[in-house]
Amino acid sequence: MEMFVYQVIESNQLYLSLCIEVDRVYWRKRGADIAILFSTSSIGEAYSWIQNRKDQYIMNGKKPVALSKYHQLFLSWSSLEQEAEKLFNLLQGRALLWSELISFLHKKNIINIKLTLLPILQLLYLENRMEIKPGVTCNDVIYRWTCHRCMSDRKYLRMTDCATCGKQCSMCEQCIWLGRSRTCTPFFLFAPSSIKKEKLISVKPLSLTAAQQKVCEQILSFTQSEEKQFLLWAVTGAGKTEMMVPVIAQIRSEGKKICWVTPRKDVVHELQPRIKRIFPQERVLALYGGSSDLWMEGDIVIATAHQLWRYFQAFDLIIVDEVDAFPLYQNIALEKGIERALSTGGKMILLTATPPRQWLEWSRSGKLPSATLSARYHGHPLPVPKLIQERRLWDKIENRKPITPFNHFIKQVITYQGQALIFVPEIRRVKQVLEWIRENGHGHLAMAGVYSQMSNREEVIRRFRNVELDCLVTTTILERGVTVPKCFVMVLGADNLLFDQAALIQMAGRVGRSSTYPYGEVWFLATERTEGQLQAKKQITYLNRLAKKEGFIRKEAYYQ
Amino acid sequence: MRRWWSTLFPLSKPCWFCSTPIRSLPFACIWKQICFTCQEHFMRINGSVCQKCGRPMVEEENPACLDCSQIDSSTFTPNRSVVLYQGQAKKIIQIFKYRGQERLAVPLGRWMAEVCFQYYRSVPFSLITYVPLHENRLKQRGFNQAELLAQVMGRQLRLPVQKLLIRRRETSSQSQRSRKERLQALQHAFILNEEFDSTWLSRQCVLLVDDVYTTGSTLRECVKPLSEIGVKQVYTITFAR
Ligand SMILES: [Zn+2]
Ligand SMILES: [Zn+2]
Ligand SMILES: [Zn+2]
Ligand SMILES: [Zn+2]
Repeated sequence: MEMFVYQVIESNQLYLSLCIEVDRVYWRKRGADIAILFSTSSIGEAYSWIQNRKDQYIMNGKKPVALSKYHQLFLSWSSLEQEAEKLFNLLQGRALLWSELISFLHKKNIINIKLTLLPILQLLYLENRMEIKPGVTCNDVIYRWTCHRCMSDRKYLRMTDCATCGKQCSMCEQCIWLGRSRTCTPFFLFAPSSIKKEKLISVKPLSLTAAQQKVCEQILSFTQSEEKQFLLWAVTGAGKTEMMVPVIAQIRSEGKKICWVTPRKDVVHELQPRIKRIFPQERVLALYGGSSDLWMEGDIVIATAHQLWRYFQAFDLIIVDEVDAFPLYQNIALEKGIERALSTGGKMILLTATPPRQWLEWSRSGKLPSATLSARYHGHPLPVPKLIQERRLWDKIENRKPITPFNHFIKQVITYQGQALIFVPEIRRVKQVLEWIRENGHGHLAMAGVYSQMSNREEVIRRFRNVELDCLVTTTILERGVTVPKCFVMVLGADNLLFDQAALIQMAGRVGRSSTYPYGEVWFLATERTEGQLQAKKQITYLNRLAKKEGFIRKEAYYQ
Repeated sequence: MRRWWSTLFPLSKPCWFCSTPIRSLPFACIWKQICFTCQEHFMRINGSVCQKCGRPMVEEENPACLDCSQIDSSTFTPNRSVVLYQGQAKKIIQIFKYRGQERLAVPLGRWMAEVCFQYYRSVPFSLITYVPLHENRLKQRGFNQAELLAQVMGRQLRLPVQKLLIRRRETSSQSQRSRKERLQALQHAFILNEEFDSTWLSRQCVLLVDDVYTTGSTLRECVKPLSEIGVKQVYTITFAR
């Protein structure tokens, strides 16, 4: 793609151009002339010339390039303006690479735009309704190298010979899953929509518990405050989706847009239909890699975090679910992406069942406004894990020797007609554990294993959900995902470093989600007692006590 | 600072294809530098293969497979491939070629070099070349996947990599056409790069590189202009088939 850098004569301003004919007419209409400084095949080069104001240098060294002949714009100025308006309406609040823009237009069935696209984009740029940046900036000082699309630093950038621009060009490996960002690829940031129409929102009525009600009020008053972020610490099974309904209804009634970010695709799948049922008249999108809602227009967008790199100040409320989980936690690029997708003055609600210690301190010191919900929606306490030691655990698993507590656990599951969810720290353990169970007298159980790279993983999970399986052995991938009503959890090798306090609490949180089945149990089986296990048990006990003190626990403990 | 004993034990480093941490020695072959799960999903071609096209074979009695026995052996160029174009291999090629994860050229190219060394040990190669892309396609994609593989192989095998061929016709997406149309479009699609002296070239022993072997027709078309000026020794290698 050929780009120009030019100067408006009699002014100091430098501009870049995708279609120089538009600039000429635009400035002539304003009584100004332009001098072209140079042309290049790479937006990255043009951009850094302008950023570093190297114009004096060029002007001293070279003469301005004289274009022998301007092309004729083949549509009239007024129809160009109309077309630009139309396109802008579709693209407001989006941040797209050239390749994404093209697929966007394909999806919208805008076919004939290829000829007029560059003039339209150029006009939007001149009118300050769109900003153009290179995908990656790399010809500056090395520590300032950055991918503008995902805002990664040079750790993920890779210099390669580029056949597209014929130069050395840098590509970004962090956001490559959304299409390749590189130095010679333009990245467009379209200004957000400024018109917000108030409207009536119809919501399917919900019944909230007293504890949930209290939190909802806290959140609603937060949206009226000056604060930008709010932390909600809600135990697993507290019913956080329902608690978000009032605030979503409020923001939507102001005509504003909402995004619900979650770390995992399966949560997007599960949440989208639920939200749609509650808000039947709103456009609720599910966005993730390969989703069919891609490029659609939504009022409430349920998305994986990476998808937010495609938005620019588009949302007035962003709910970040499981903020403490991979890949969100401590991922600066994803955090910046969420930040960029949030409108100026927008609000953020952070949801977690296991807040990092630092956040709790911020919340205690008042730096981070927050609320805690220590009771589950059904009023039963959280199941407290049983900590059990077993010497040479993995030896025994590998050699299929009897392990009394493990055997006892499985018998318990059978007695209460439950389903066992067994967590293991490594992929290779999945097979071993399945064999151990088979060889130790439980061959009649319907069992399967699951781990992240498995191709039929979703099928296996579906079978477990449909109670076609009695027993599922899994790595941590199901730590937060699956909930079945009659769940029993066993964490094998709970002393593994992978299983920290947060992970253990999440795994324990799979149990006792249904109010009609109070038999589920959580067992941590390990060679050693670790800080993680002790802390997890301690925190669960603390939350139960807190809930009781606040009077939110209606039923007695069924555990221990 | 690294402790002295770290050199005695394998270091933990990420699998080449999925970044799961694994233990391997720095000089281990690529197979040992990929994780257990990725290994399970790659179908390696080893054991007996068709001596011509490199297809895996059950019987060892016939040197060539059924397809190859039907082709006139005077025009045949031997081929070897590393893995079957299925499962993980298919996925990795997609990420490499279409997503543009150029970094993958390193493990793929090294793996190909290892296989090349295994099968073509006695061949005195003097240079490596690759299946070219048409100029427009190259500009659109930004790189030629076969060229990147050839460069990595060249470094491993210490052979020069030269662009001997030029693709003069744009063959649009192969999958959308019938077999006959595809073959027709390929006819004379490649010509020699005029920068090279043909007498010099005719004395070379050439290794021709591509990413995937589907029917072998692309590779055969590439060999044609080379044979025409008298290059006698051409061997081909692809990552998958
Ligand atoms: Zn990036
Ligand atoms: Zn480039
Ligand atoms: Zn792997
Ligand atoms: Zn054969």
